[in-house]
Amino acid sequence: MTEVVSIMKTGKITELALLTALALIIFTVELRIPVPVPIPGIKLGLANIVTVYAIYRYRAGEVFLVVFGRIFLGAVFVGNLTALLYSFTGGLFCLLGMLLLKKLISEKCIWLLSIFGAILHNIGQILVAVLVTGTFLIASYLPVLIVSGCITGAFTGICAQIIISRNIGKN
Amino acid sequence: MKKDRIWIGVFICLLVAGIAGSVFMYRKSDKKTVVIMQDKKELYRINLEDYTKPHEIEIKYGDGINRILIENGQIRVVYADCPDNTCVKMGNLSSDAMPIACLPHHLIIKYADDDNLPDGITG
Repeated sequence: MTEVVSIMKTGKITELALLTALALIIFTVELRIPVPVPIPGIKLGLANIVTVYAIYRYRAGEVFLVVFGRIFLGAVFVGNLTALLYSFTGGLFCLLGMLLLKKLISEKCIWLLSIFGAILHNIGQILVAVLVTGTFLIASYLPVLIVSGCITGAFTGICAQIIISRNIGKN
Repeated sequence: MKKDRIWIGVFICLLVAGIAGSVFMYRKSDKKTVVIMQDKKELYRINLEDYTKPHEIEIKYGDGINRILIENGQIRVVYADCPDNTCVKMGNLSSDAMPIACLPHHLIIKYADDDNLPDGITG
């Protein structure tokens, strides 16, 4: 009996590790894609596809492991540890918001959930930037970041929705 | 029944507000006085029309460095040794509301709130 439990656990750990690795690959590849709008904080956020997928397939604690594992390892791989504070806060805002909204938004509208996640991620980042620089003026980037969050969030959300609706990875 | 429609409405409101806000934030400034700030401190207060020749300012932040160029009444960052280089890509300062920011170096370049001539703190 204990053996079965431990096998299930190992299986779970492997799945989560795979998801983290996948998110990390997407994150690293995305760094090579140039962003047409030069505003601090704008990015595609393709790794969010994995986050949204994980939210619908795993428990909250497990999603936290995947997201923060990816954020920490991503910062280490890129060698930009100062950015960790930004991505950490952004990730926390995004994740808490999406976990909450998952209870309010049906599975037909996963793209919507992803959009709110992206917007919350950007709000979190701006908040850190305002606190770090002590300049409230940074908040003037917020409208642009909200629009970019809508666009990139919709894209990653649609990707995640397709993956989830095809029952990929579901036993 | 989850109320998706409400959230779609929230999304549309946010998008419209975002677009309107962006248009507002991107509006051009006709001011001539520019302030360079780092960690809440004002480093330089510059009248862009004071410089007829290109003028370069170097600002250090720990090991990091930003080079700022003033040319033809415009100001921009020409070099930064941070990983993302967003401040360089932002080009000339043009927006009244949105500053050029180098977040890794805590550097902000913006138009002065009051368009007064510099009083002795010029670089």
